[in-house]
Amino acid sequence: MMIFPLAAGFVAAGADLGAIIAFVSSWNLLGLNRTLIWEFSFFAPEMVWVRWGLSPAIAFAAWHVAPALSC
Amino acid sequence: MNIIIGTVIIGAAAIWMWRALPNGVWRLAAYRNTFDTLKFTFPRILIALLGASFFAELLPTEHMQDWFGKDTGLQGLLMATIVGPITPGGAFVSFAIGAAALKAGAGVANVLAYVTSWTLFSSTRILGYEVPMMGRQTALFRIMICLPIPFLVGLLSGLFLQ
Repeated sequence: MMIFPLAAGFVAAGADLGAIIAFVSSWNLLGLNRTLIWEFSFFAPEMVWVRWGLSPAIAFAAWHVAPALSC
Repeated sequence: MNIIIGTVIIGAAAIWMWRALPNGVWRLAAYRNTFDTLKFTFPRILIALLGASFFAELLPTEHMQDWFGKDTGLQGLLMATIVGPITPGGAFVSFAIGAAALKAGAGVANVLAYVTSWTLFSSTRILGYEVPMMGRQTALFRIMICLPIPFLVGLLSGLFLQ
């Protein structure tokens, strides 16, 4: 859960809200240790790859949408 | 197999770091830290794995196809997205439930939506870490932005997986 204090530090240092949303969301979606240890163990690899293929694009879209919505 | 590969990679990294330690004092401190981490983590992991397995066994398999089957369409995706955040525990619980649901006849798209929903909106993580550390407004804003994601992942996964 290091991500949250790290993100809070970025916010305090003046990071863009969209970048923070994308940062936290992409960690949530694509946490590497979670995927390597648990996701690959329980699911077929093609399921994991599809989720990994789709998630960054969507997190990237969130980064674009967030500043527009916050105005 | 993946667990074995992961263990080998992490083990190799640990050996490399152990060799990089400058002297015996540092190594002794590393052994102490390793033991403390093991003492803290092992009983929790053991109980969590048992709990996840029992939880997966308790799934109502007779209703699984009706609620989350591959023919449930948007309703199944919506249900999967709603169930994700209320799943208690960590990754071992949600992935074990997802795997058990697949075996019981749930659709792949619905399971992907469920897992994605859990990763993004796990209530224990949001209430325990995100809101206290990042503030209610930022957390709520992220949740609102990310709301369609599990639904979209499930929907689009149908293009690649049968």
